[in-house]
Amino acid sequence: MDEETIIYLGFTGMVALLGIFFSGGYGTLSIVAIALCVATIVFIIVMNYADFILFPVFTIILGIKTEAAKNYMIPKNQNCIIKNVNGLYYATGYLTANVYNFVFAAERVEEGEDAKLAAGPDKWERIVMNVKFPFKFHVISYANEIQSYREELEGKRGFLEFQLSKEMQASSPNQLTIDDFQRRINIIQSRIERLSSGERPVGSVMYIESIAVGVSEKAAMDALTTQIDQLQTVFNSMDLSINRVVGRELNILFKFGFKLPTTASELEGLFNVQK
Amino acid sequence: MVNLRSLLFISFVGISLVLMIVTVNLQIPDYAKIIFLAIALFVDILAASTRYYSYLFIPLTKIKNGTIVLDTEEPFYLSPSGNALIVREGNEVYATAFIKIPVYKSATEMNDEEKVDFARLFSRIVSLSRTPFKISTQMYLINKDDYIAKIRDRLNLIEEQYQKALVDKSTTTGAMERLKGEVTMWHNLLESIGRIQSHALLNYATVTALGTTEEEATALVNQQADEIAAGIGAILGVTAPLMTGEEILLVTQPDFTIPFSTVSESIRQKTVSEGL
Repeated sequence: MDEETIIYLGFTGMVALLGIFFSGGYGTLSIVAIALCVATIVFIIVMNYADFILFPVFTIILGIKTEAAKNYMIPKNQNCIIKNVNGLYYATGYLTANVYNFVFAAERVEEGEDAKLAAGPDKWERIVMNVKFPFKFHVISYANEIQSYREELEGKRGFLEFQLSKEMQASSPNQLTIDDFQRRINIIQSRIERLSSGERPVGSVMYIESIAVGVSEKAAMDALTTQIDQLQTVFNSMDLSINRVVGRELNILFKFGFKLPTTASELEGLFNVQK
Repeated sequence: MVNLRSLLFISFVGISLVLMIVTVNLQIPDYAKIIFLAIALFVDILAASTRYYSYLFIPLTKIKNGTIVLDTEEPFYLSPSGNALIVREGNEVYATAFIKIPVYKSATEMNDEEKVDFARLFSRIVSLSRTPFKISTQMYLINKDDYIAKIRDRLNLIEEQYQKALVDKSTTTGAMERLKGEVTMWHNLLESIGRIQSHALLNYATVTALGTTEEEATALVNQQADEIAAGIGAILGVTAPLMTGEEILLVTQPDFTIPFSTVSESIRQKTVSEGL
């Protein structure tokens, strides 16, 4: 969670908490007031983490379409963007393609890294050979400042070591918690070692795009869904965490086609960046 | 700098807070207080939603026929030099440049060591710049529009000649057979071209720069693109040129990724074969 999100959640949550604090002022209906405030806090948290579910529900119920630009329309289910060219409809959809699995596996099992790297180009070519429709694979990346990133990692390691020692000194230490802290410390330690060996820290966002064509909006959207399902299947071999993009992020990825964020902080404000 | 999002957030939080405090102190029935509380909490939810949806607030007030209009203009236009896309947002101008990355290697020709090296080269490319930039691979349909148009023109011409020959008593049987054969040949050629979709793969990098004028943004983005192109060239040992004109449209416009005539011919044949 970035700082801006914490500010937004913190202030709005505090207002709702204030409602609970003042609940005595609502007399006989104080329980209703507390329930409303709790429901608001829950809704705000859900909205922050699952807006990709809430926003399409809102647009589907109200039947709202979005015109993103001239000739570009986002249908009410918010899962693609459609361009109409002389009666042919081009539907574009997106998939997130995070490699968290790979990063953690690589950091845990050092000796497996070369084998994974060697398998990468083969897997990629097999995917390209098996896909019979247009698609794009995008990686947006930027190099981080080494010193500040190292300090950030050392800070995290110090905090985890403090938590670990606190857990170990507890009257009844939990072995599972201790193991989890040690695993997280090892991951951070291996990242620090990689920095020491000259590797530059990188922030990245990865996504896949596919375009389908049809003689009607529905035909194009159906063809796109088939393509997206197929892409999810073929990219499974790459150890990626793949999800179809719906809601507001669709509009952001559409814009990334012709305009990228110009600073790392701008990109980090839009997406959870993988580091 | 206070932007629209921050302004909306502060306003909504303020309204919600004031409404909540005032309601508690008002001498009104409890049920009325609860209604005011519900309104205050709704405004609080609106404040939270400005984190991601502030761009929708003003368009939502102008909603027409169930459509939120975010923009009615083309999303971008090509710079006069043809080597960058220009996007205007208020007083800010963004220029985006595209760099072609020619990759001539295939994993099938590499041993394990070379594959690891190649993967490591890719890792070096993604850490080339401290400004966010995008590396993309695109699979697209090869444009056969011109070829299909030529075949169609030729087919129409021969069909016209054949129709004329049918009513012309002086045409010999041999000439008729030749024209008929030619019509069948062009038909078959058009069908086979439309039936098979040929694909191609393209690798490219994208970078965007912000300026106050179009010239400034274009100059800045060209400078950044040159740096990235030089880095890619040094790492992969290839020349990475800037993309221009139709090359840019190929990677940004869906109707260039899937060319109109090429795909409409394929859709027509599919429809005919399904007997629709």
